[in-house]
Amino acid sequence: MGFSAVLRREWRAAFATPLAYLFIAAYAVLTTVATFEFGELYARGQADLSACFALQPWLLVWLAPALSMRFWAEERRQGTIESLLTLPIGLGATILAKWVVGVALLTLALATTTPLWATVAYLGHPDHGAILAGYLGSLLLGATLLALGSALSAATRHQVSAFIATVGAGVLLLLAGHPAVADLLRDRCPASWVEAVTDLGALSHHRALTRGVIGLDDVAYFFGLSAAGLTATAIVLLSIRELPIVLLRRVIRPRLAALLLTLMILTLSLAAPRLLGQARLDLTQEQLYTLAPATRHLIEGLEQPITLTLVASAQTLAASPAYASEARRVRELLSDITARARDRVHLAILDPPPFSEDEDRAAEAGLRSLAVGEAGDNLWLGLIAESEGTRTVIDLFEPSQSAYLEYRIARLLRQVARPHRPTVGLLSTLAAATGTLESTHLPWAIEDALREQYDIRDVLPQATLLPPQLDALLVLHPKGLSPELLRDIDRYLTHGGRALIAIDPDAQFDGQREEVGVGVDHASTFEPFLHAWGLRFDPTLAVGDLDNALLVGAGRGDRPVRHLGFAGFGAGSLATNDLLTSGLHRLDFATPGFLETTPIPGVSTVPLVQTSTSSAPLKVADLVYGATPETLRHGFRPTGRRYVIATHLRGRLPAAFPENASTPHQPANVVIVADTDWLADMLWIRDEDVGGTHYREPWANNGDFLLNVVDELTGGDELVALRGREPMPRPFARLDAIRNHADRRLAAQSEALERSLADVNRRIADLSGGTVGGPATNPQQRGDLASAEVERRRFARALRGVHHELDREAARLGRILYATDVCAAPLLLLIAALLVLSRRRRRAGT
Amino acid sequence: MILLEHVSKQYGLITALSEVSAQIDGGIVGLLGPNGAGKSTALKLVTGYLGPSSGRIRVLGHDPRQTSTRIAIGYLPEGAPLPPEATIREVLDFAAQARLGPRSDRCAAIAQLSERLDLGPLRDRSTDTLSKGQRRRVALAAALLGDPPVLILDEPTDGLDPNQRDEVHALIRHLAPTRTVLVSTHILDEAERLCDRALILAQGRLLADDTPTALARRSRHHNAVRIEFGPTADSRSIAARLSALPSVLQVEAAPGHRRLTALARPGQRPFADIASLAATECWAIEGLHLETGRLEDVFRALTSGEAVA
Repeated sequence: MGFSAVLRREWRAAFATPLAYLFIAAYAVLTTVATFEFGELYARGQADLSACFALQPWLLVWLAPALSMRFWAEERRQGTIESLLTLPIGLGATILAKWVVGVALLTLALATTTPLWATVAYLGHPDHGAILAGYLGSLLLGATLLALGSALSAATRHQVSAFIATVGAGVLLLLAGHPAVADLLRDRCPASWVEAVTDLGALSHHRALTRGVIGLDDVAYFFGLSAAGLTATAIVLLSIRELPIVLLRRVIRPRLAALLLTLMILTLSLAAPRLLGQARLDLTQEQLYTLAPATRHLIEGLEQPITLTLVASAQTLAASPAYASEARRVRELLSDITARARDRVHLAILDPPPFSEDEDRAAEAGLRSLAVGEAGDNLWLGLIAESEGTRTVIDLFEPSQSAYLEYRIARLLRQVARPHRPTVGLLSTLAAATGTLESTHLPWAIEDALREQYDIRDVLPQATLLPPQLDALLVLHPKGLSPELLRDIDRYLTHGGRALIAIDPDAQFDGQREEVGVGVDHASTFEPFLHAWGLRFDPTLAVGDLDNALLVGAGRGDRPVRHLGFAGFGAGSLATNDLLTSGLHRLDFATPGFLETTPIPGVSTVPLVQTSTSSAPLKVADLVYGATPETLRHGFRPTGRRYVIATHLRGRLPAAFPENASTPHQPANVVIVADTDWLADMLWIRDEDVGGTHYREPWANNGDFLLNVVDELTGGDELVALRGREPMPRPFARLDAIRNHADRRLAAQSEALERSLADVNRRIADLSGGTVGGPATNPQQRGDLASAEVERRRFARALRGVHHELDREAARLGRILYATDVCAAPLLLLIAALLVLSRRRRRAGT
Repeated sequence: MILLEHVSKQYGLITALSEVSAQIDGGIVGLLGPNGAGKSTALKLVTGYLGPSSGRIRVLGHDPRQTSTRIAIGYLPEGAPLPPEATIREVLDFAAQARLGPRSDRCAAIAQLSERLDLGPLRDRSTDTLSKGQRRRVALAAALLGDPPVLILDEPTDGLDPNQRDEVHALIRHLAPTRTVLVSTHILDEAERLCDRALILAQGRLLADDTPTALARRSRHHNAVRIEFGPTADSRSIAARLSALPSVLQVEAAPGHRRLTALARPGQRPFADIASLAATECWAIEGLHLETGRLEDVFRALTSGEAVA
C-alpha cells in the first residue's frame, strides 16, 4: 500500500515547482536543436531519428541527474526523511516508487521529442519499429542513470552535490567503453580488468537497442545496473540505521558503500550478457536482424557439416567500439545460424593472444588483422569456414560492411558447402585477361582472384557456342565475336543468364593496342544487345568530369595535374542502394564512355556509377591524338547532366536476335560498364616489395567491384534474395516532391538563363582572343568585353536566383517544421505548468 | 509497550546513548535532558528510524525497524518538518494512505482529525504558508492518522507561544488515556505539568526515572518554607531566628527581594515551627508558603553531576 502512496506523493511533488517543467523543456529544446544542427537532419536527408538517438546519451547524462538529485538529498534538507522512513512503508517500496516517478518523468521528457518523430514521418517513411526501439533504449539508459543518481542522492546532503556526482558517474559509465579509456588502462591494469571496464560501457548497449533490436542481454544490462543503483540506495539509507559494522562505520562507510556499489554494478552488468542468451526482438521494418528466409533456406539445405571458427581478439576489440559492436552482431548472427542449423554447423571461438601461434594460424588461414592502439596490437575479427577439406574465410568484418553481414556469411556458407566452385565464362579481348591471347604483361590481380574463387572457362571470340552450364559470363571488351557466339550469348541471357559486360570507347589494354595509328579502333561495343535493352552507347565519345578528374603526373618533376581522361568516383557517384557499390569508397576509370538508358517494361535499371554534373562528353579522337590535360580542359563546357558509366539491369531482357524472341524469357541479371581499363592493376593497385616480400596495396575498390559483381551473379537465388536485407534508403519524399515540382516549374527559365550565360561566356572568350583573360586589342573590343562581363554577371545572378527559388519552398517547409519541433514541447509544458500552478495557488488562497 | 534494554548508540567514536534501560507501559512519559543529552537519538531509536549499536528495543513486543511495527507508532519529528510544496490535504492524504491503505476511508479519518486539530479551514493551504503552531498541528495530525497506540513527540512545543503550547498540552492530555506518549522536552515546567513520568538523560546516560513529583521531592526545596515580609521587617534578625530552628537546615535570602527561604533538614517539616515562631515574634509577614520541591533543582543537580537525595 505504501508504494502507491509514495508514488502519488512524488508525482505531485515533482510538479509542485517549475523546476521539472524547466528541465524537461530545456531537454526537449536541446534534443531538437541538436538533432537538426549537430545531427544534420535535413542534410542527411534520411527519414529516421538515428541522429537524435546518437545524441541521447549525452543529453540524458544531464537530464537524469537533474531529476534524481532531489530524490533523497532534498528529503534530508527539508528534514522530511525521518517522517518518510518511519511510516509503515517498506524501504524498498519507497526507493522503487521514487525511481518509478523519475522514470515516468523521463518518459514524459522523451515524449516531448516526439514532434521529431512526427516530422520525419511527415517528410518520409521512417522505420517506426526502429524508432520505437530507439526510444526504449534511451529510456532504459535514462532509467539506469536515475538509479545511479538515486544512490548518489542518498549519499549526499545537497542536491547540487548529488547532481554533480551523478553527472560524473554517468559520463564515466558512457566513457567506459571508449578506446581512449581502454588505452589508458591497458598499460596499467591486467587485460581482464580492461575488458571488464570496457564491457561496462553503456554506449554500446544503447547503440545496440537504437538500431531497432531489443536484445535480452542489453535489457538485462540496463536492468542489472538499475537494480545495482537501487540496491546501493538501500545500503546507503540502511547505513543510517546502523549495520553491524558499528565501530568501522564512520571510517569506512563511504568507501564500503562505493565498493559494494562498484562490485554490484560490475557483477550484474558483466554477467547479464554472458548468462543470458541472444534472445531478441527485431522491431525493424525489414526484420534486418532476424535471419532472412533465404538464409534459413540455405542453412536447412546444408548437406555436410560445417565448422565455423570466429577469430575475435577480445582485448583489442574492446579498444575499438566500432569493431566491438560489429563483433557482437557477428556473434549474434552466428549464434542464430548455429541454433537454426543444429548439428550441421559447429561454432568455435578463437581469441588469439598477441604473438601467439593462434595468431599465426589465423594469418595462415587468410585472415587480416588491424593494428590498434599505441602499441599496435593486432585486432582480429574474421571467420573461417571449413567443410570436408574446403576452407573459405571472411578475412575481416569491417563495420562499414555491417549492412551486408548476413549476405557475406551466407555467401561464405554457400561457398564452403558447395562441392564445386561456380563456373564463370571469360570472354575477353583484353591483352592480359586470358592466357589465350598473347600477353606481354603479368597477370592482373583481378584475374588471380577470379581464378582462385571460380572455375574459369575461357571463351574465344571466334567460338560458336558458350561452354555449357555457366553460372555467369564475363564479356570484357567484346570485339570480333562470331555471329554464332553472339546468338548463343543472346540465348543464354534470355534464359535467365547472368553477365558482366565491359565495353570501352578507348581501351588502354586493347589486344591490338600495339597497332597504334589512324584507323586503328580500340573501342568496343555490344550490339545488337544494347539497342535491344534500351541502352545507347556511342563508342566515339568518352565522358570527362571536372569534379572527379584524377591527378596525373606531368613528368619531369612538374606538379600533377587533373586529367579529364581519368576519373575517380567516390561518394555521390556510386550508388548506395545497390549492394555492388554501396560498400565501396572509390572506383577509378580511364577514358570511360557513358550509357543512355530508355526504360524497358519488366526491367529494373540501377545506375551504379554516375558522373557529377560538372561533366560533358569528350571526343575519343581528341583524347587519343596529342591531348594534354590543359588542351582537354580548354573549352570544356560541363552540361550539368550526370552521365551513367555503369548500370545494373535485372528482369526479362528483350532478345537481341529474332530467333530468341519467341522463347519464354527468364529474369536475367546483367551489369554493364562503359570502360574496361578499370580492370587493370594500374587503376587500382600498386605492387610493392618490402624487404623482399611482395605486397599488393589497393588504393581504389576496382577489384572489390568485380568480385562483388561476380559474387552476385553466381550467388544463386538465395544470395540475390539477401540483397533486399540492406537498410532501405528513406529519403524525405515530401521535400523531394516539392523540389521536383519547383524544378519542373522553373526548368525552362533555368535552361534559358544557362544558354544565355554560355553565349556570353563564349563571346567573352572570343573577345579575349581565344584564351580566358587574354587581352582585347582595341578600345572597341575592350568596351564590348566590359559590357559582356556586365551581362555575364547579370545572367549569373539571375541563374543563382532561379536556383535559390528551386529550393525555397522546401527550405520554407523545413524551417516551419524545425520551429514547430523546437517550440511545441516547451509551449505545451508552459501551459501545463501555468494551469497546475494557478490551480494550486487558488486552492492555497495565497 | 516500549522496552529499552541496555540500549547504546554510537555515531562513530561519539556515544550518543549508553546502556539505557527503561520500560514504558502507558501514560505520558517525558524525556528530559539538556541539548545533546541523546533525547532525539532515543526517540529515533524507538521509532525505528535508527537502529541501536547494542541492546534491544521493543515496541509492543516487536522490533520497531520492522514495517509492521511502525504502523503502531505515530512520530512527530523535531521541528515538525513538512514538504514545503505540499498542501495540508496532500500531507494528510499521504500519511493516511501510508497508514490506512489506499482503500480505507481516508477522508473521514482526515476530516475527524482536522476538526479536532482545527485544521479544516487550512486544508488547501500550502505548508510553507503556515505558522509554527499550525505546522506542529499538521505534523501531529499526520502522526495521529491511523490511531497509533504509541506516540513519539520530539520537542512538540519548541518555538511555540504560550497559548499554542497550552493547546498542544491539552491535545496530548486528551490523547494520553488510550496511548503511550513519549515526549522529549527541555522545558521542565512542561514536563512537570504534562508528564506522568520523567526520564532524565544527560550525556547519553539515563540518570533518573520517576514521576515529576517524586523527582521534585529529591530537591533541596522539598518542605522548604518561603517567607515574604513587609518593608518594616528586619530580614537579618528573622533569618538568624529561623536558622536557629532545629528543623531548618539553611536560610536563603533573595537579594533585592523581601523574601527568605528556609530549607528543611532531611525528614523535617519546619512549616509549623516557623508559623509558630512568626506568631510569637509578631513578624510583619505578608505570606508563608510551603514548597513541595523543584524539578529544576533535581535536573540541574543531575545534569551537572551533583549528588541528589
